[in-house]
Amino acid sequence: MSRLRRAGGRLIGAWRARLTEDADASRAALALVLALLTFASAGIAGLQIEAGIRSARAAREAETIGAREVGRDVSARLQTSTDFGVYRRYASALFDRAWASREMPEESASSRALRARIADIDRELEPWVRRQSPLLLPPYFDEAANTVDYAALDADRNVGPAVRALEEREARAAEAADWGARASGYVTTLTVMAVALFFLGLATTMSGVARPVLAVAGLAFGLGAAAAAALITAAPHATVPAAAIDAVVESRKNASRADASIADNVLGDAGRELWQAAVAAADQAVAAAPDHASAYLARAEARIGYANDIVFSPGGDPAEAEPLLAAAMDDFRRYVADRPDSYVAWWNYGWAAYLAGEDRLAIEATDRALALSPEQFTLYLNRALARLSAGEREAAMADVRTAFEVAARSALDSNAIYLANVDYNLGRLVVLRPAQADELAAVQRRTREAAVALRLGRAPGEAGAPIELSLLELRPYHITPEGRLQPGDPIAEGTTIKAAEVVGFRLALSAPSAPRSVISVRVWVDGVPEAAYQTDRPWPSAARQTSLELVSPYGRMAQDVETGSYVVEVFLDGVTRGRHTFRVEAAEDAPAAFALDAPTLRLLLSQNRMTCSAPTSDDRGATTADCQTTGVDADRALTARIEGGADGSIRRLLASGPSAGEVGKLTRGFMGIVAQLVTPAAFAEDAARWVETSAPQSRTTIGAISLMLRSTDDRLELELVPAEAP
Amino acid sequence: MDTNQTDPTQPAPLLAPDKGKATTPDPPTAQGRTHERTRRERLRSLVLPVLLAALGLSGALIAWRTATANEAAAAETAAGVAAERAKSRAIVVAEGEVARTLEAWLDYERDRREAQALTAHGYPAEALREWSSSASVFFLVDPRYLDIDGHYDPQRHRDGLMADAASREDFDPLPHYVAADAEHERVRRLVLAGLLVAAALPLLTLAELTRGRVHRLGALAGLAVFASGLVLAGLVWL
Repeated sequence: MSRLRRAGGRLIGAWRARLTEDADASRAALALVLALLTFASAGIAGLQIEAGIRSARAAREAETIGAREVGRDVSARLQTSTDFGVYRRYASALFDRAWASREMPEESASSRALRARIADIDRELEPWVRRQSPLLLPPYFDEAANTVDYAALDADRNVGPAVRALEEREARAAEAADWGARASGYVTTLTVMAVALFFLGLATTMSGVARPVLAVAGLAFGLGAAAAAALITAAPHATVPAAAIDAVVESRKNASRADASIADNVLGDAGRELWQAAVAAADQAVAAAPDHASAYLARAEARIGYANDIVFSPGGDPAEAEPLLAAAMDDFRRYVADRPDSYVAWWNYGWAAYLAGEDRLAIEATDRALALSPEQFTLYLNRALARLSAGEREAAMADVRTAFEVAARSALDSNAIYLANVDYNLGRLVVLRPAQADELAAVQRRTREAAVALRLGRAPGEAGAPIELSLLELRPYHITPEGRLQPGDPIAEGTTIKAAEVVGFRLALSAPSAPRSVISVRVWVDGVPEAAYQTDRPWPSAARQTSLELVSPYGRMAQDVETGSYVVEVFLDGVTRGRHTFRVEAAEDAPAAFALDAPTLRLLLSQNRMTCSAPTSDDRGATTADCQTTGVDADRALTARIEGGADGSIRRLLASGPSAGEVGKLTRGFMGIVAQLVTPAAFAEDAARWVETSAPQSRTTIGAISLMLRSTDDRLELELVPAEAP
Repeated sequence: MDTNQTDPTQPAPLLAPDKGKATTPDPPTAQGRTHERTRRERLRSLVLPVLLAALGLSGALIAWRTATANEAAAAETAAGVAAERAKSRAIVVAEGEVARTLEAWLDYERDRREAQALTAHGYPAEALREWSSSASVFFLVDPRYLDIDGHYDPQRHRDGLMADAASREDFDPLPHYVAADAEHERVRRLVLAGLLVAAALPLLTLAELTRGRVHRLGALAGLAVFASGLVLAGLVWL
């Protein structure tokens, strides 16, 4: 200590010895410290300016990426829309060609030639048309199946680049914020430095005890500011490695494709693989940048997406989703710690907690999301579900009411989408949570009514007019070859019908007096709302009865309705008035009895010295065509009657011809050829041999065809019909 | 009294007067010499305060120039971002037009080819229908962007539209960014010059407070650093 004091003394002595005669040693020292701190301040100001420059440059890059991405993204989506335009033309040309080839036999030779020529032109144009859109080229086009993978194109062209731009922009913005924070930090240290200079300046003008006090204070502030500036400079910079961005992009692309792979809410193997790939890519992102919040969000959303699809897939096992939900919650927790103002993250965090059975956490997280975004009506419904699960029924129902009030006034575009999702999810939750089934079903009922009311521009929950409405009957629609809809027998409540040839439904309703209301019909198949059947129309004026056609565009093109459990609900001014349930089952596939269909057989016969009449059809679409050898009298002619079903299959075939004389031999030969033609290859020879060798009034079954040989007066007749199933 | 006698109280003259020669001017008197020395010392003592004042002034000027350069950089950056936005907007507009043209072209070309084939195969009535149909969308097809095979070239159309738009609006952010970077570089050099000027402050202060070797060294070093700061500032000023 004494040595230190001696050294200090020597230093002060040396300092004094070098000062001018009239200098005050302490004041001189203060003046020197003032000068040094002024220099230090200039240095800090330089650092502040440098940080400002770097912040400005990073912000500029972020702005540039954002501005550039708007142009790229919008044009990419426009291109995608054009690609669909190209695809539409391609598909339309295909349908036209198929139609022309079906119709050609019916037409005159000149018409056939014309159609054939047009078909050729379309065929020649096809490669060029396909080159105009990547959607019609590999890898997005499957040549064998003639299908397009829109989700893959969307992921590559839209989702991937958009996510990359967002990630890079955020990385640059974070860099700008980092440098901006440093610049602010330097400004703070400069302020402290100014205080230090103020104290030291004061100290030089003071004498006595004030001088050392002020000098020490000034020195302390000055050194503190310098130390703070040094710490700010030495602090590490947050940067996002390119590998992490690549992995996040990959994860989002896979998640987007997985989302699109869900058909009728069923999670298939392809969907699972894509979700797993999305989670794995996000794992890589987290490994590459353990502090990159976006990587955690990507992983959390991949996990909750996967878990959600498992839980809500019909027959899905919620236990399988549990580890995913727990891991997703960890990721969300990590993300919201960094970004507490992301209502989307709180929203999904709350949903993950609800699915995991953590009701209290679900309510708290949803509360946070609602505080940030109170106009998202789905959040109130999510909280209502969590509250129901937690046994808070009153609060839950209050949330349901609020949800629809908010939906009615906010008119967000997402309302229609989310109402349909909520509806489906509620249906599944009724099954998964039997203890709350009644309440959940009640919420679902209100959701459906709200969806209808919102579409009609009415406030959900408004009591409708007290009108009795009866659901008279529901019939299946068949379609005739001419495209006319033909109602079938009524479908009784709770019964099962076959899908074969059912293209839609006809719903008849009656009311005691004509209501001045809007009638709405909604259809659910296996709990999934079917938008194609959505009908809203005013009740016809002065009518007490009305009927509605529930036929989708696919039904109009004679495609059978989907199989599954159907629920048809009728609403009057958004209030439920009726409900009808039934099942549609797949028709059992009848064995393919005949090797040819009716039009083809008719074409073949007409190309082989026979003249065939145009097919006539009955109300059910069954057809009949008669052929006869060209230029031969009726009594000597070989004839064939082809009876077909609406689907074109042969239902009955009659071949006949004279039984006597030389022509009689021809008749046997002709019948043998016909039998050979229409019988599957494996039985064709047997059939021909049986026809040529069997005596009249014989009967047999070959393959799936019953053959009967009859003799009437002077004619021999062969009848072929599908063998009855055993 | 011997007039040649010297006054011991007076300092000896540096040169004895040489009789017979022209007389040199009178040497300064003792009072004059003292005055001269005092004046010189006073001047010398003013050097450091003047340097310190000049240092303060140059520091202020450098700070002002730094601020103007920073402002210029910010303005160029804003202009660059605005150009980038304008370009994005033009890309979207061009893409919309290309999309419309491509779809119209697909219809036009298909109908035209069908019409040609129908004419060639002797179906004039049907051909007329196709010709009419192709003509109905032709106004949406810009023939300038059909290649020599008659196929529509979307990329050429896109490029053409962008070139046209670029003739009406500033689309190129690069020159602005280059200018902004140049201004930022100027700011950095001015900051360095400012630091050199500021570094002269403690040195000159030390010189002002001390005497002897420390004084001389401090003054020389301070002057050198200050001068180099000024030179650097001057070089990057314009």
